[in-house]
Amino acid sequence: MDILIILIPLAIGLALFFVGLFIWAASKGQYDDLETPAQRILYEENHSGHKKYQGDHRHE
Amino acid sequence: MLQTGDTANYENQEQHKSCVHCQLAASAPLYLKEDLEHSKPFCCYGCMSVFQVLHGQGLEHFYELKEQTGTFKQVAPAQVLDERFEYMDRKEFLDDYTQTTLDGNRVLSLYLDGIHCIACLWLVEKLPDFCEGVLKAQLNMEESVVKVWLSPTAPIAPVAQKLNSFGLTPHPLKVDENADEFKKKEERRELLRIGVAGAAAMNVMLYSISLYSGAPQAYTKIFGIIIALFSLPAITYSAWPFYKAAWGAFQNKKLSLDLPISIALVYGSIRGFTEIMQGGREFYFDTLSVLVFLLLISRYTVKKWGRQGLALNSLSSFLGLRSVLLQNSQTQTWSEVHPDYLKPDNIIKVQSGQTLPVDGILLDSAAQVQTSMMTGEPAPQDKNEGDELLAGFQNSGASLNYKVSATKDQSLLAQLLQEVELQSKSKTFYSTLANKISSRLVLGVLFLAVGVFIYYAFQGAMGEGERRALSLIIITCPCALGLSTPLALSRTLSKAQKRGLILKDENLFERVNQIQNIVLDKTGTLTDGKFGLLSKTSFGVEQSYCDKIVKALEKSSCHPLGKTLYQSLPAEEIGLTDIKETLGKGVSGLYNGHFFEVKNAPERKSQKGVTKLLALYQDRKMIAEYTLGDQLRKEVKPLIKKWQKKGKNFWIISGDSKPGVKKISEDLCLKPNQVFWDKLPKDKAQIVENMSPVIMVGDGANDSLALKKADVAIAVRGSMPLALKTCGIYFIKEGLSPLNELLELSDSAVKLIKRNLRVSLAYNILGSTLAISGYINPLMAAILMPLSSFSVLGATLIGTKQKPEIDEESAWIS
Repeated sequence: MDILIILIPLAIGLALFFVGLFIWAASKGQYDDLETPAQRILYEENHSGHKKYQGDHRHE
Repeated sequence: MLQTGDTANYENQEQHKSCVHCQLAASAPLYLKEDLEHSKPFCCYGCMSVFQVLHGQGLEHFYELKEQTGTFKQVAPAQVLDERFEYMDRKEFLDDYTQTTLDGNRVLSLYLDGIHCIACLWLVEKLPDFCEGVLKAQLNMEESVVKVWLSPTAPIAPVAQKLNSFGLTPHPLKVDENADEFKKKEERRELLRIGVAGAAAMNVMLYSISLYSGAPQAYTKIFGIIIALFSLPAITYSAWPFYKAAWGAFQNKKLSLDLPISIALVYGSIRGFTEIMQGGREFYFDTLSVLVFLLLISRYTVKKWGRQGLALNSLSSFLGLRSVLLQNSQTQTWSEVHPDYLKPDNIIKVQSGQTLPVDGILLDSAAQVQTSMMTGEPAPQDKNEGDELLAGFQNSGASLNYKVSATKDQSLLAQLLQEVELQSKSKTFYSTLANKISSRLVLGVLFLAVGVFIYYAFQGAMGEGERRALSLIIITCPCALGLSTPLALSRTLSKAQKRGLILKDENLFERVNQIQNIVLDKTGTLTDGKFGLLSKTSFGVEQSYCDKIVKALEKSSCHPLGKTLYQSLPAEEIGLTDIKETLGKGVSGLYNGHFFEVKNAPERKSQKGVTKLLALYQDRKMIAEYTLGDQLRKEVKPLIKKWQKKGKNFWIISGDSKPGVKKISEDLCLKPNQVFWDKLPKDKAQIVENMSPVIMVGDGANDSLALKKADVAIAVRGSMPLALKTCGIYFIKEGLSPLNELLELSDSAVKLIKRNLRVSLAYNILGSTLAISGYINPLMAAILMPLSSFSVLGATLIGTKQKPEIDEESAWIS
């Protein structure tokens, strides 16, 4: 059972890593609008002018 | 220029065509001039003009996209306003409505009326390609709000104009950046809470299960500490909303559903910590973190599902008034201005058909206005120079000039609105069925839990008592009450919104279902408030000959009655010469050497009030008479019959005079004691008050007193801002068919809620029996409880399922 000394910190570390990733994604606004981006992808290939200006992301 | 189907037979074949632009059925299709095969039918000129604009811009891809992806919101025929949006480039507007980004660009948010599919998204976000100065456009489809980034010097008006030409009417939104940011942060925090609780619950499970499955005693303490540390964020950070809500309700001397949850959480974790310290294995932390996670998830889902549909707070902005033309006092030139910025003594021009935004004094020698919103009177009124005009009047004649006497906020209408708003705030809170049951249930469960605990404590089995009490509290957590009722209601609400009914409060469905008395106002609800041709007679001359002459005379008339007359006569036309219209007098012209005139016929006693008489004179001799009046809507009769059978009682209270009201009540087979006429606003209010509980359907300011007294007040289309403030329910569609839908929706929502209550009550009785008798432990309870709520939620979702197809009946009439 000595392996637990490695496994437990590993499991905890993994958990913390993913929680950290989730917190990062949520606070970056990845989940703000779940509908439009999903729709936008349907036509984006025909859409040239879209990447011209990325807007002003002040809140990050 | 445009062709329409000309024979009746031909039109019948066309019945099943749907509009190329909005897909609604085009019953009398219109075609482009060059479209000789009639392959592209349109339902209205709005849709046709949008189609032409899109083709002119090389944006045909819009229709391909639409075909591929379908629509996701109910569509309405495109509406293209005749407006140039110049006011958007005035300094006051820019200061109020736009923000400046760090790199000096401007950002503007617009609510777009008419967003319904991916093709719209494509179109709107393509703005930078064909609008000079637009850097980026980003649409949020759920909210129908587009955010536009513009270079510092780019004008805004062309952008708004462009969107308008696509049939997407733009309404500028005043963005309170702080409130917006706050809302966004709150939403993210909610999501974070769920994520953290979920992660905590899963990891806690990992160690709990190894303990349950017999991990050696040596690991008990270290696992216990890991479990406690993992569940700490779940029971503090994630569960915070429960504590807050429970405490808030407690301070107001109310029992909320969050109270037992909070007690279970606090007590369970205190017991957990002491257990770890003492080296025991009964932690409860697994139970608690799973409970928090599942509860948060179900609440979040309910909120998400419920919010589909129109965001009600954006309503006030799109019911706003259109811009008017303001005269510059020095240069005498006209420019567009937003009604918000009008000041006393400004001189403004209001176009035909537009609503007057502010109070003022008429400068023209004569004008016609529709005052129905303020007075309820459907017939247009003549006004002369110097007469007072009120905000809310509609200009039904040619464009008129008037001098502003008070700013928008000080107009009589605005003051009335403020008063109504104050009064509606003080309305007593109506407690719903679910509210009543759940607070009793909470109290009962708490008493029972304490009883179980004390009983076992006296028996010397404290631990057992604790376990059973905790299981009891957790398993009876009345989620079906707390979650499924709001879900059923909010789903019904969004269903209603898609059908053109707007309800301020979802609890109104329950009220509507309970109340048996329905009071209707005559004009605007039973009749459309617009004049139609009721009858015609000719004296010694052939009727069709008279019709032809009248039709020719009224062809270019700008008098509302004249227009009505023109529209309701057969299509044949003849040419008259020397047609003259004298405002307020009538129209005249020459034909075959005879002098013809259409003007008001002398009034007769029997005709007073309800109807208007117009007569055709040949060389000053009356040869034909036309009676114009309010007509009963065709959907009214079957609707009243149907709901009378189901036990509802209908009443008519009208301010109009006896003959008209009586005729309508006879048509509808109402008993004489169910009909009131000649009622002043105060009398109406009195009758409604005595009848309580009652649903009142009305329009116009003259009903507003009575509407306020009614338990459920419903406003119909045409009574816009004022009624919207007074009433809990507002029909976007014209006529009474929305009432039918409202009654049906309420009926099914209440049935569903009652079914859910029965199921969850049965479940709770079973669960608490098992918990008290010790068959289930707290962890099982924590898993069983959310499972039961999910099954009830699932049943609710299926029960309120939306029909995907758009039926013709619910198509918006505009």
